[in-house]
Amino acid sequence: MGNGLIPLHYAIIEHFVGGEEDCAAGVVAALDPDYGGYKMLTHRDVEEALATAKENGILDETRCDLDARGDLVIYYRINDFGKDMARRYLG
Amino acid sequence: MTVREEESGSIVEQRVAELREQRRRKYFVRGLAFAVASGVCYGLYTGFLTLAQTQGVWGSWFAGLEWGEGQAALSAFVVTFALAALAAGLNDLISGVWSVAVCAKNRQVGDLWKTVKTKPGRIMMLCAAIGGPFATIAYVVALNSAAAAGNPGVIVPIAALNCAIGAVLGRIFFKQSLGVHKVVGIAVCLLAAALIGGASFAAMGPGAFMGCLFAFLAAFGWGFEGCVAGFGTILIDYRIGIAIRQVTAGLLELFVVFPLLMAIGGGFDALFAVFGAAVTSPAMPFFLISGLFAMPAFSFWYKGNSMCGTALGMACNGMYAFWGPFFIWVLMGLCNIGGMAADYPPLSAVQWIGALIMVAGIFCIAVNPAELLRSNKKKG
Repeated sequence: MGNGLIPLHYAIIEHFVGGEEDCAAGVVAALDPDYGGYKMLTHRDVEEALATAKENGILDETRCDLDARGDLVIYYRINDFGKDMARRYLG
Repeated sequence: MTVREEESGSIVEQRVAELREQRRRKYFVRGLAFAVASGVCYGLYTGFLTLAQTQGVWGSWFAGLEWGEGQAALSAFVVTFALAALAAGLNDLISGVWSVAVCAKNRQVGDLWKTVKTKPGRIMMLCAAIGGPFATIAYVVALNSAAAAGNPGVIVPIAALNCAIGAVLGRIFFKQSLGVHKVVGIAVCLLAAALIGGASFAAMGPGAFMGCLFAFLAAFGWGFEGCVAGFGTILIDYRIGIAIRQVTAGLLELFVVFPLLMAIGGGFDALFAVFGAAVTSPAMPFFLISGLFAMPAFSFWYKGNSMCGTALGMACNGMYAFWGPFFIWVLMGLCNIGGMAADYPPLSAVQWIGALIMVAGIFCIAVNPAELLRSNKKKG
């Protein structure tokens, strides 16, 4: 509780604020050192959080690819509206 | 690049496009399932809440009888308003306890506490205050004014306007799309809600007019809540969001609004006795169940709104106009829990037709008929 980390969902959006594109697996890997103990840091939950952020205009989809197992990988990048939201509510 | 490389590149591109479409459809169906389930759970929680208020001391209160050990009957104002706040408060606070338990199971209590102290958390609490005590009490006032004027059904479509108000606010605040087909779909849903509620605008007396005014305030409160809290669940996990919502609403209703209404109704002296009688009555197990269903009713509402947009999410949730009377009939009529089956007859044919029209309205919001025609032409 007193671990000094921001809530996981805030961290997922904050991860994009720098402007780099990333996918769900990339987000999980980047947050794992700090949030590894969180039960909700799963590929499925993060994928849904990213899709919801995209659906609500915070993230844009940049490209799609296939991973080594032939599964779909979707990459996202934050847009101006998303940056503004993050600055106003998470900053 | 050789011809073979070009061909294999195009096969990969095609496969990516197929998977992308599958993923999009799966996400949409999942959002729709959340939104529809929220309406069903809303009906179940309404059913158990209605049932709870017929049990034990609640029965004596509403019948205007003496209660407890010879305590005088409660005043009409206290019965109408203060008991509504007490019932809503018990339901919401119990639902809040269930929600915190779910967060604990998911090891999210730390995030819950941190979220409460941030701006999005405080906005969620504001939504709870507007959608909880404000809108709920406005709705009860509306229901009672319209019922006293002999026309309770008239407020159902007005309160169902929350769907339209939420969609318009979603367009203004968050730039969500609001095409013609969505506006038409919302209008169809309102018509269906009017049919289910048995609305008649033919004889509108002043009492019914006041009912409509308060029903509109309730619709505005819920519209604001659905739109803003729905958007809030992009930043806040919906399980954390609902814990904040229910605990805030429950505490405000029980410890601010209920005492205030008891004082206004001249029953402040009986405040603790009424509260004590309520929490020790045989109705409590039913409040535990209604609170359990209220948790997904609201959390799925937020989640559905964030996944498929406010217009569609609110319309699916708005099916509670059907699910509410349906589950009241199933629990109290069909299953005869409470022993008053004769007072709860089956739904009428018009109400079933209203439900079907509502589904058509929701379909119209979800799917743009022009695009559907275009894609069918392509396939043809």
